Amino acid sequence: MTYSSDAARMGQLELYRSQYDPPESPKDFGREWTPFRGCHKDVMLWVAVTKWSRNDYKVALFLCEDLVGLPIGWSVRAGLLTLLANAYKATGKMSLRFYGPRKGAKANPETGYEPIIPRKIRALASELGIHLKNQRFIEDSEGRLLFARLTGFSSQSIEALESKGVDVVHACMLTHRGVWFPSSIHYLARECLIPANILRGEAKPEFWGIFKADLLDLRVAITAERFLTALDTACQVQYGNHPHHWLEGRSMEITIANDGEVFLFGGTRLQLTSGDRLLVKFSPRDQTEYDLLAATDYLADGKLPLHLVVTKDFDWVSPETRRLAHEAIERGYLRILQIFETVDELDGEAMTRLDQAASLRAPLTGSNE
Amino acid sequence: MKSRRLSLVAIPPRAWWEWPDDVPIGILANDAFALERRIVNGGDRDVERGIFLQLARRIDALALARLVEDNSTHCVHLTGELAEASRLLTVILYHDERGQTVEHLRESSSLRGAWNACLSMHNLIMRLLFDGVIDGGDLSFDRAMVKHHLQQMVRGIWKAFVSLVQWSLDEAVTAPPTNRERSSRTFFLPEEEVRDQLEALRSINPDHLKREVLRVHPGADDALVDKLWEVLEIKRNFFGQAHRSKSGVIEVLTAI
Repeated sequence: MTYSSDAARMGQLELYRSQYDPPESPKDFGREWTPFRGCHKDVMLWVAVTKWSRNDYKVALFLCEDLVGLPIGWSVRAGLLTLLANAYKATGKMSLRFYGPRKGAKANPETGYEPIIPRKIRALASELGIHLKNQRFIEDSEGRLLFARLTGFSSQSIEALESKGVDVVHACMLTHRGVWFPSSIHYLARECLIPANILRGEAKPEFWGIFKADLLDLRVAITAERFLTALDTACQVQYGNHPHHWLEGRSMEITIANDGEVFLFGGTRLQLTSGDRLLVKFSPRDQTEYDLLAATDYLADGKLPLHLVVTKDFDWVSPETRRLAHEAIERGYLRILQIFETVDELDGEAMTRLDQAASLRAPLTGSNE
Repeated sequence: MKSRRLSLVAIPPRAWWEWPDDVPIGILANDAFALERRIVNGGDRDVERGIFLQLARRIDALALARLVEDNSTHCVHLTGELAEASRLLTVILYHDERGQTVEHLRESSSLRGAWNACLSMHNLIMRLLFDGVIDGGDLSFDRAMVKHHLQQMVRGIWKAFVSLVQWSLDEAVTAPPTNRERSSRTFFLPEEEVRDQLEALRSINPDHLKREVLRVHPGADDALVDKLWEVLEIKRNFFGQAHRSKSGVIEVLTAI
């Protein structure tokens, strides 16, 4: 995608603003053409003029401009994401109808200025691997797919969610509300027997036999989020900039995007260089489990050194477990990284996330909001 | 294949009530059952759930610690496909015919339904009385007195009825758990609880299991049903032995 600007067409927005902005009364919001502006700090990234009914969401104007200092394509991504979310709210569908004059007719605010889907949106869709079938409108299924891909879900994640009967839009909303990272949702969808229960916050600890299995997955997902956040901070990048994907079980492969360093268990430091690949295994356990199952955690396939992420409980393991760990570290195939939380705290966090998922509300201080 | 391990641990009766020294497993398990009842009956569910979570985790940790401490502890480990089959078995037995969970089932039980019907009936009668639709106009003595006595009578009957229904509901929610509720439990007190669970496991026949599997997983093949049956057999044998030795049982699921 190349740098793009619609600044030359800003006069069209002015026409709408002079005629329709602001609406005469709140009830006219959406009945008449309604201009939207999306800004980053003090600068406008995108503008759109839309009108909707209960079944139809029309877009008469969509302009965007990339900013110096922001990644190319962010403006169109932000604009499209907002339009799709608004359409979903207004009509219950993620379908957008672009509105423009008939062939040969002159464009004006009443007839609209977008006779076909704007080129930038089409380019973005093809970049995300989505083929838009129609010239004039984005279908609901295409809109949902676009929304999920723009949120950060890979096509495998979407497939995993759909195969387990999870509403992809709901999963996206959980991400936008800061409840779960997309990679965590992918992991939960893959591992949980009924992931919809977790993502709707319906899992209840009193049914321990069912809940324990889900809790093991929740602990891994939260530990992974903690580790990725720590890695982002150490390498001074934003979430998603370290390409990562889940491997079999509780392991993840992460490619380092920027130089940095992290502390290892025992006080030493690990230098990370851009391009490094880390094989990370998440092992959130309590002290007894570490003592009983540590040996299975230290197993690696031998291709890459294993980076084992443990909880604070690892501080209190038996001398024998500690000795085994030191032996593996000295042989060079194990590095232990520790998060600051105990399993008890992770479980508390899991309960909070379930509550948030049930109400789709997260505090504004959420980690990735 | 997910790396899970389900450990069935039999805790002898003496250890159940006396080990560890600070708070024995039996006391913790009883507390957990009490919490479970309090969560179901209402109260501050968030707080109770938090405590339940800690207790259940402590019981699991103690069961694992028992394995480390005492090599002679009777234990069966299910790993790989068998562990997954066990998880699926729990889910299958836990969901009712409509695919709803036990809690939903409770809320829509016949008793609750009767209770709601009574509430509606009471509201209707009181509205009729107080709105003056039934005003006793055809009777030969003072209409106000008729209305007053009628109201008193309805209130008296209503109070007695409320007490009766409340008592029935209390009995229902403090009654021993049903098979379905028990299926989501992981710790079983020696003798009675273990015996009940054994009976629950024995009550499942191959046809019933297959029907339940197909209900939850419409595309399930015979291999899956066989695997579930194998797990069921292992569990039956384990609970049978635990019952004979009067041991308590704890099921611990761990990631390996």
